Amino acid sequence: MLLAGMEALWLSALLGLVSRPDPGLRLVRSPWALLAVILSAHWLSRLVNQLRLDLTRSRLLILYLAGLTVLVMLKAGVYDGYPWWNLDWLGRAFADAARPFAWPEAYASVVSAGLYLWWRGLRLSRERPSPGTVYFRFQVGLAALALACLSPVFYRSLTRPTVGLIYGFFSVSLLAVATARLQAIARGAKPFPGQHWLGILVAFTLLVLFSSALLASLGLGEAASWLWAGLGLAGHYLGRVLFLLLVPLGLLAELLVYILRHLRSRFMAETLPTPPPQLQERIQETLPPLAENTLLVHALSWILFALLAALVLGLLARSFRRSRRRPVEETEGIRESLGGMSLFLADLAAWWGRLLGRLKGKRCQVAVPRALYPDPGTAEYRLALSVRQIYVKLLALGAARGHPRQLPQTPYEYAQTISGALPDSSAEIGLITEAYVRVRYGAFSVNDSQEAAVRQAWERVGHQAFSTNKQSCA
Amino acid sequence: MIDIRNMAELVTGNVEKVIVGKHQEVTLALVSLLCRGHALIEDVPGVGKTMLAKALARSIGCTFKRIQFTPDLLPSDVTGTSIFNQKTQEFEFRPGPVLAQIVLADEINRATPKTQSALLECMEERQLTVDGVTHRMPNPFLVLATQNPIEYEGTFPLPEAQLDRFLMRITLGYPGKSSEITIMDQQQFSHPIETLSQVVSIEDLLAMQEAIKRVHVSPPVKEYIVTVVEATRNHEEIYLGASPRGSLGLYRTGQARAALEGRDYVLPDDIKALALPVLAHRVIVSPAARLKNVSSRAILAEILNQVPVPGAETTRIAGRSARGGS
Repeated sequence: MLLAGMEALWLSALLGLVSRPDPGLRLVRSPWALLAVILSAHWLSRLVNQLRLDLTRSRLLILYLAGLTVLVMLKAGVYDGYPWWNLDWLGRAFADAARPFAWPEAYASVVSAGLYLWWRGLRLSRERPSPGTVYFRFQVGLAALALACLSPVFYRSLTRPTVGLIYGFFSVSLLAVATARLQAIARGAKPFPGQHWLGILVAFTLLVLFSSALLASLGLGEAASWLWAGLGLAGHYLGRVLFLLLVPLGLLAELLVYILRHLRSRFMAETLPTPPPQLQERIQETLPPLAENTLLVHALSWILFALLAALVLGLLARSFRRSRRRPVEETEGIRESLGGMSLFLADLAAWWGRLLGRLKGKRCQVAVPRALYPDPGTAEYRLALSVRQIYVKLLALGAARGHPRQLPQTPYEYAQTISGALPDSSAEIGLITEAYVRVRYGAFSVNDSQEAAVRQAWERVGHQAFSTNKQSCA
Repeated sequence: MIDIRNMAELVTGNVEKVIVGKHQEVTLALVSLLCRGHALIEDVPGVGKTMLAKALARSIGCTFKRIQFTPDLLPSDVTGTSIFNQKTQEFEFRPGPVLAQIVLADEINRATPKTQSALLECMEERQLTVDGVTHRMPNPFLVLATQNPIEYEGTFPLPEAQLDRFLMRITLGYPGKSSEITIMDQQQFSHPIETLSQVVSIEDLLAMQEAIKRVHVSPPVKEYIVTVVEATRNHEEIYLGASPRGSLGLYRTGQARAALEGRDYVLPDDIKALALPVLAHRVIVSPAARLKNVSSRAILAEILNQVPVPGAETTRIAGRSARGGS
């Protein structure tokens, strides 16, 4: 429920941005609408968690989400003057993206947020719902806040409900992070920090919760203004630094656009229409007549939405059809996904059965044949998955060290290769590989203590790799 | 599984008192025995083929018979024959040497195809029919056939269909320098085979044969086996690829090797290690490749270096993410 709450608040913030030019939460102004958003987010998070998408699909999903988020932020924050159905704003955004000097803070913040989401999404895509997932949401919220502070356009458009939402988001997410950390400590995945640190953690959480509630209830008047002023100043300088870091990229893009424009003017000058007027002029030209005919605007918006939805559904259907076309036995082992098609279909059937059961008024017990994997809810499955994830991290480390695993290499052969690159960690690498092959080829035979040993071995490998890096840098 | 490993170590250790420095080959012979298969030992004379069979038979207390295949050997010389007993006025069956538990068919390619097929029928069906009476082969039953890879004059090479019935082909090769010195030292006064004792009972061996069937083979490993075998069928330098019997042979031998190493599951490493002895004699190299002096072992090694092992796709994605900065 905590995750669902975070999803709901995050979705609400997005919806709030989308619903402008009216400020705030126009779309969720009623309690029933808010409840609907919370339930939708709850189901969405459950669905995404249950799908257990394989690596490729997860990566694509994260790419879509990150791209969509950046586009929504761009439209709502920077190109607010354009109507949604008029896709000229998209072309304008691309043109502006090629000129970083025009919108330095917005450019830097949007690009950095997009990169950040992409990078974090990659890491998340390899993990099951875990404390890492919670931290990801927390960091997405942090990125959203940084974005709001960095962009003067966002800063101007911030309104009381939006600020309240951000505070609410932080309250819920902090509670979720604390709970996840406590769960990890109870499970043994994280070491017990001691009574002292645990007390500080609980006290800090309660303090932030209390102050957030207080700020929210006070209406965020003066306090919020002071806070935003301070954050805005810091954000301004941070934005400048990021801008300077991204200048080479922008200059390169500008050079490319210059070359393209030059070529176009040289070869296609006669066939092209006159170049569009400046942004403000176009807004002036576009808005008044459309404002008179709101029915047309709404109709066009819905048509555009329907087209986009059809496109997304079409893409999903195509990928599903493609995945069904390939026999399971051809792809299951080679692809080495953390889920697999059979598991996906079984889960889909189970999900459908549960849904039907609820509609019938009773919970339906669907017996899912688990030929390859045990039930995802079991401790056995969790331990096995954890070992496989650690092994994937080991592969990533080896690849980063210039020793990616070759297709025909067996895990033991690769262990020898990577042990050459990390000679101090050869024992740990052997332990991780041993556990991995037992899990991968030996029908999930790993227990709690073995999984803990593998985790500790991975931590030692990480420390040794880090210290080797430091030595080589020195 | 621990029992299988211990017992296997007892057997291989015992055999290696006679066959020095050939651990891999002795293990392969044992794998063949555990899988209820038969092995073809292809090597030059004098490297210890007969000794290997004898030592194996002594170590597990099995009856051992040796048949020297020659061009004038008749099928009845192998299977046995019915002789009329004048006292009882009935025909009595006199079993041939093939009705032993471990049979060494020495230089099998020197006998005529008719005699060869008589033996191969016993190997496959594990029964023998003489004069309308069917006799079951003893259990365990292992045929170790040998053939000389260099002298082909006056021989009848085994057709591919019959080669396919051997579970694996083993090459002993010459011993190393130190091993050869050890062999000379050992045989200064007497041959070590004379003092070799039984270390595992036949009941234990039969139990081991049953136990290896329970070794787990995961779907990715099964797929790996089939992919390797399929690659032999689609390789441009192979005229005829391995049969489904080859897949089955890899499957069974993989189970046995895993059990011998104390595991209850098969790894791709097992398949890689066994692909050459199990598949190399089952494929026919194309004439063009033969002209280039390309052997089936070289082609198989190339296939093993190309077929992806389950788990490699993760590497690619992990590698990308590592470059992406995670």
